[in-house]
Amino acid sequence: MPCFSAANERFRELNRRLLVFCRAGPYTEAMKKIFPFLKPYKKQLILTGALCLLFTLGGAFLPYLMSRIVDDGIAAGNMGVILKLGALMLGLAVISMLGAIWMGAVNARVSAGFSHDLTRSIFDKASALDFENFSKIGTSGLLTRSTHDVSTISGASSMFVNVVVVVPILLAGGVAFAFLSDRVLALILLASMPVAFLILFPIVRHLDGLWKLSDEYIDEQNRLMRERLSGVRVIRAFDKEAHEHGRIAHATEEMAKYIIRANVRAGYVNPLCMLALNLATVVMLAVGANRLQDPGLMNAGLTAGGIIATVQYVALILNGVMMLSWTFVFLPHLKVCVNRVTEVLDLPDEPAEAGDGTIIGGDLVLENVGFAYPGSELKTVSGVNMTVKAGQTAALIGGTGSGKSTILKLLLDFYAPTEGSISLGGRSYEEIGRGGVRENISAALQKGMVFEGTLLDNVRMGDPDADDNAVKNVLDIAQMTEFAESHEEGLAYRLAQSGANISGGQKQRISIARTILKPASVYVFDDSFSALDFLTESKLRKALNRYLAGKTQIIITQRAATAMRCDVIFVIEQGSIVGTGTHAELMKTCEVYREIVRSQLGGDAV
Amino acid sequence: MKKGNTSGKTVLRILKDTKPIAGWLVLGAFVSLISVALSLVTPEILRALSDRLYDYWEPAHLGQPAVFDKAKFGMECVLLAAAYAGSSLAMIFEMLIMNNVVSRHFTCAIRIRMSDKIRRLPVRYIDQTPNGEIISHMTDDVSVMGTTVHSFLETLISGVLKLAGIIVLIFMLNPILAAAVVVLVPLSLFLSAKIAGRSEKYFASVRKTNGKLYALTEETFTGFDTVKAFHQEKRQRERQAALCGDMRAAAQKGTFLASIVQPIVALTNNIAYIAICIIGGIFAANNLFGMSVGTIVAFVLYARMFAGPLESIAQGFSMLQQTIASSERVYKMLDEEEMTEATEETAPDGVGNVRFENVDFSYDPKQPLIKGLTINVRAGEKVAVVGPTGGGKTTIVNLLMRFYDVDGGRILVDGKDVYRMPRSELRSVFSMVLQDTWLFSGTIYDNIAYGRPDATEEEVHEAARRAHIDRFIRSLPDGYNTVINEETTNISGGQKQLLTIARAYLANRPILILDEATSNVDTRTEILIQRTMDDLMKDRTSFVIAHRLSTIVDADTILVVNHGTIVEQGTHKELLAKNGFYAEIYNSQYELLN
Repeated sequence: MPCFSAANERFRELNRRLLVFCRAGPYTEAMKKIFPFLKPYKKQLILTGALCLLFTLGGAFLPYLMSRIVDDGIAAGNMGVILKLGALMLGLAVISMLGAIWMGAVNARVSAGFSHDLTRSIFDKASALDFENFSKIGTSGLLTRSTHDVSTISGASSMFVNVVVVVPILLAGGVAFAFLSDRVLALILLASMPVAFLILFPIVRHLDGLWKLSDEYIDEQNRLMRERLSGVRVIRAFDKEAHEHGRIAHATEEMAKYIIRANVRAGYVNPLCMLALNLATVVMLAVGANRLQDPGLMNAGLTAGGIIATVQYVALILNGVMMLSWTFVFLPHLKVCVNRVTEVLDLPDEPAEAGDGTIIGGDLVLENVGFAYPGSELKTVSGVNMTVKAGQTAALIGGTGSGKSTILKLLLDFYAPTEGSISLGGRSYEEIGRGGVRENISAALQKGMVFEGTLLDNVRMGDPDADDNAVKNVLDIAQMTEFAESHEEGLAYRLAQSGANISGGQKQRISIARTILKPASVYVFDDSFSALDFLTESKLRKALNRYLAGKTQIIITQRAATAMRCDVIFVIEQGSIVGTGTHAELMKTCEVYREIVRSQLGGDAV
Repeated sequence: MKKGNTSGKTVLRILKDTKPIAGWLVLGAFVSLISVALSLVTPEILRALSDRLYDYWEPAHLGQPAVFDKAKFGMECVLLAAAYAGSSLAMIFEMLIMNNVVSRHFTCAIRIRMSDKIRRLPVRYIDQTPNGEIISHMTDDVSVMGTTVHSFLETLISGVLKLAGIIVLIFMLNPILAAAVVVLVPLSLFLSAKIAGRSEKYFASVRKTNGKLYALTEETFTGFDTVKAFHQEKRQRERQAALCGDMRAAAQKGTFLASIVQPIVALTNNIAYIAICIIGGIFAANNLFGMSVGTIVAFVLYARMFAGPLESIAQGFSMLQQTIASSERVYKMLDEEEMTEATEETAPDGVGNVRFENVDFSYDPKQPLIKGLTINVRAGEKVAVVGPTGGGKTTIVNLLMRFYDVDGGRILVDGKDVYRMPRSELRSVFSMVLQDTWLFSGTIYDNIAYGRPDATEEEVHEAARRAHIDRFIRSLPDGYNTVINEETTNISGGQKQLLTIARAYLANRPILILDEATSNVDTRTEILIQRTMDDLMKDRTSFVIAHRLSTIVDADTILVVNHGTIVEQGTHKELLAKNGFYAEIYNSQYELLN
């Protein structure tokens, strides 16, 4: 009996899943963390249950009343009964509808509220993280968690309500009503549930995986297309369009294969469900007819109308079973989302210490500073000694990956050094505190980040109290006056999210304006001139030096031309300072520096 | 009027594109016809069964003599089961046909045609159309077209036939009850469509807010260091909370409106059900119009069936609007003007003489860029293009490679007019190394051999050696077979540039176009790149988009570009003597130095 054993196998698998769902760790563990978000809606959820009971029972009563019309009305030729029962049905139908609408209102409130609370919590948490925890999950990881995962969970919350509240009521209600007319028919109905589940579940089980797979193939085709469009010049230069077209045609054909596979499997669900429902109807009619011929049963109240009514409960039951099957399909995916979201929610906040707003001033000293990123054994920087005297302009020069940006992160106290110490004006960073440090160091970061909002908003992030004139002044220094004046809105010109409507050089200059507007002890520019041409850079630097005269500046760069004129230059390579001094001194003493200058400026600049 | 016309044309064109699968569509229609016929028969059989049950029970429960024809009842049960099974099987068969045929021979075919089309579209089209747009036409829009063709049979053939069949059958059974069904069931659909339209308004606003929310989140996380450095956490949180609040309000309203569709539809369907029960009951009790319990059952079933096709037809029509919009976008791309190829001349001899003769060019006719440009470059000479960022230095590359065509004048390579030869022949004398290094996802070996797939392994290795990247490649675990893709992190920007230089070496062509790397390159690699580029330029005519002083000084011709136009032209000495824009740029660098 191979067929039987296969069914047995399935049944065991199903049992295992049910067990996992009902009691074992991972699911309940994951759900437990989401439950607090449902807690504020406890009352509403109970109300939902009550309303659901009301409208399910209301709907389920109709076939029963119909059987009474047949048995007591038509058979007895009693008009009064038919009208009375009809009016009762109408009343029930209306009550059932009102109950359903009310439940819809409550559910809408719960699901919108739940989604709102969860979206806000994860964003609040993410923005309160310190850098160590932030980079543990990473930018794109956090983005997925706070958008895709959260919306998956929110969408599933209504499904969850369905499974916990609606499905049991549907199933129990259907069977209970069936018992009103006949015990055996009710038992057949009860037995049809696991049978329907066994037919449905294997079909829908792998659907999620198949959909994901065909999504991957769609992504692959799109990726190839994007690659081809972005490389159109190179492709045409080498006359490779035919080759690239072949690659995409192949990917498209592969993609079609997997889309067909997923769609075909999903396509089986409907016809097979219908078949299961219909065959159950036939079986119940046959059994009902058989039982009707037993005079004892008939005397006990089994009627033709009763059999006809019971048959109508099959649809109700099947509906419940379908809901349950789909839930099982999405459960594994849901679990992954919940775990990823709770992973973020469980992280600790960065301790919020506001500074007291004092500008400390004085020398900035790094003493024997070493640092390894959390989880990494390799030190990114080590033994770094730098002293920038108050009012000096220092340069930190080195290639990509030399450790320049890490030093900036230490200066801003994004991370604390693992060795050595940093002090400002004779006070150590620990003493000043994280908030205080960030008030005293004003940095223009590499990317030249701008945010959605007006030009004014973006610059005023440096100093919320600054007036329009102060903002105009720093924009002028940043060589952005022309830009501001070219738009009729002026300072009110709206920058798009992430500054999508302006160029990289403009972003850098806005970020410079913001940085110098902020009152601080030390001003740091991290590769902030890289997107500017020589002419603009030259004008900007001249204006900058006038504006920041007497202030401490640190310029982090890869360009020798940018570093040359600074009071002191630190040359960094592989995490260590390999040279300190002025341009002239370093040309004599530091091989690395000489190499940089020679490669960038040619022989004549030496 | 005119719009209706173009819509009609679009529909006709879709039909034309389904021609290759027409045979299959006919077969699908035939199969769905069987399925419809079988499903229409079942309520009739159920009617007979119910009547048989009732006719036995009615006298029997009063103790009167009653006969139950078991054989006939059994036959009818078997017949019913067979009709159900047949209908489901036909549905499955149709589903299999449509999925396979439409996906393989319709959507897939259109996508391949679009990809093929790109081969013949000018670079101008690709530059001007956002990549995402082209990709979305190819995936989303084509998929909408496929869905419509797919559901065409479902909605039009089975939907309409089923509807017609049901109406005929129920009017034959009992016109009064039939009238009740025909009036009440569509009413529910009308109501649900009305409400759905309302809720869609809110969902559109949810989607819009969600888009803003995504952008805000992305902005905050990518700029996390700036947010922290300037204490902007609170501001971002407040903005996020405001968006979340908007979304909550819209989502709640939309979800509520959407959720009342179901109960209202259920109520109208229930009213139809109740009407059938009451009216049918009264008729049956009085033995009017030949009404029986079985007929009531059949009516209930037909009424339930009635809603399905109505819904799918309504859905089909709303889908049609979307499909027409999508297909128009797809066909617009397929109809884009293609490049024409001239074939009067064959490839240049490969000496490396280049001449621009009175060239006029502009990207936008309203803003002329280059007017009457004449340059004479002899074989082996070096031309440097300098100017501020975003000033339009790549225009020269676009014209040389014929990515764009001149508006006036002509360009000669080795004395041959480039507009009289096929583009591929012209390009066969050029090598390019661009700043945004383009490598395709594939092995390092294939990437180097891209320009010359017939090269021997030794030649590929030699090219890599000359580009100073051979040792690095060999140090990778998979050597030359290392696959480069989006996730590749162990190859730096500078190394990628060296790979493209190796590619240019291997292609070994007489004219070079170089775009110097400026950022994301460490000092050592930068020296390497500089050295290999100098090496590569030996004995070749070269056009260099210059960012370094050293490149400019020894060039045979310097083109100074600003705001898209060539403002000055000459050697380093000539230009300095002129004391114009070039002198200003050059001196600005020295100001930084001194």
